[in-house]
Amino acid sequence: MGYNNEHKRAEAEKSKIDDLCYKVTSNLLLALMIWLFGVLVFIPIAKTIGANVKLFIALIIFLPFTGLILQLFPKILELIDIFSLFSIKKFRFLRGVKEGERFLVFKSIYTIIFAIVIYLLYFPLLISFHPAINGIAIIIVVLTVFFILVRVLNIFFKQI
Amino acid sequence: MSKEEEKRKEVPEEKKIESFGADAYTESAKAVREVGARVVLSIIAAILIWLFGEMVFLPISKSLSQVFLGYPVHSIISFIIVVVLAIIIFSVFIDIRRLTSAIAGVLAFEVGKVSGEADMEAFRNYRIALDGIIYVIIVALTYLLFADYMGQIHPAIPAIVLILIVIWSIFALWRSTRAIAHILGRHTSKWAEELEKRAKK
Repeated sequence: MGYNNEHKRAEAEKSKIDDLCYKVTSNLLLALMIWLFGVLVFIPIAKTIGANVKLFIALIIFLPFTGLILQLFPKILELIDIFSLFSIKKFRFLRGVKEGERFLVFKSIYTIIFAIVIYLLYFPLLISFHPAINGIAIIIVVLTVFFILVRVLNIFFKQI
Repeated sequence: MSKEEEKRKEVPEEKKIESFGADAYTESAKAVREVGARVVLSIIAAILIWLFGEMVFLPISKSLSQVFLGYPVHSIISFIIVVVLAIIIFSVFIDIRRLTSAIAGVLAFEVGKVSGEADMEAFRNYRIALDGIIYVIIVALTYLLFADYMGQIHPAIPAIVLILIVIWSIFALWRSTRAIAHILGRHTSKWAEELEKRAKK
């Protein structure tokens, strides 16, 4: 009886993971496809028709892409946590630092990489709207990276 | 249980995959033989019509100042070329579907052979995935053939058509990425479990 319950729970857990993996993979692939076709095919075509059409097409691509990224956001944050945990075990540098602080360092590095990748993905869409919107996005990304780096450097300076 | 079902159960998994692969290759060879030449000829015809229209008929018609039923001659010529191109392209679409099915069969076999998962479901998923992506590419290329002529009829038409194509392509890509996710799902869940185990250690 007890074994049956445990078995059922394990099965339910596994199907939950499968479902989550399927959803994340599907959303990630769709976002990638929309970006690839949008930025490399449809926006250049729209550019040949006119500036207004380009703006409109960029908006059509921007909306579902952003929707998918927002849906993926919590999962990506979870993934950053898992990768940070994995990196603590894998990489042995920063030996003198506490485990919690090492986790924070790795998490910060992955967050910075994620922020830069996201910005690079949005860059062609934002520049299609207006260069100033792209400029605002750069400022936000640079400030975010700066504050994360300050947090990481604090940990290093404590060691010195 | 019927005799046929019993017989099928007796066939080892490797043999099943091999026969699936042989069927996929035969089917793809047949499809290429039957529709390959027609597809190539239709594409050449479409490109020739586009070239003659763009370089001969449109410049001639633009030099004429006559107006028929309130429409300038170059708009009427463009409309005729758009209709002819549309007929050719849409007749090719059906043939291309057969070709993509054949390619999907081969792909399902080649990829499935490695993991031992070449089956009808994998084939169906590969076909949906390929169909979606290939159709979006074909429609984008076809649009390039039509865009200039549609602009001659009315400047707003290419813009409206492009917007409709972009919206359609998002749905088409959504369908094909769901199929790809089904194919990848088997592997990603294994990777996730492995990663979780390593992180817990």
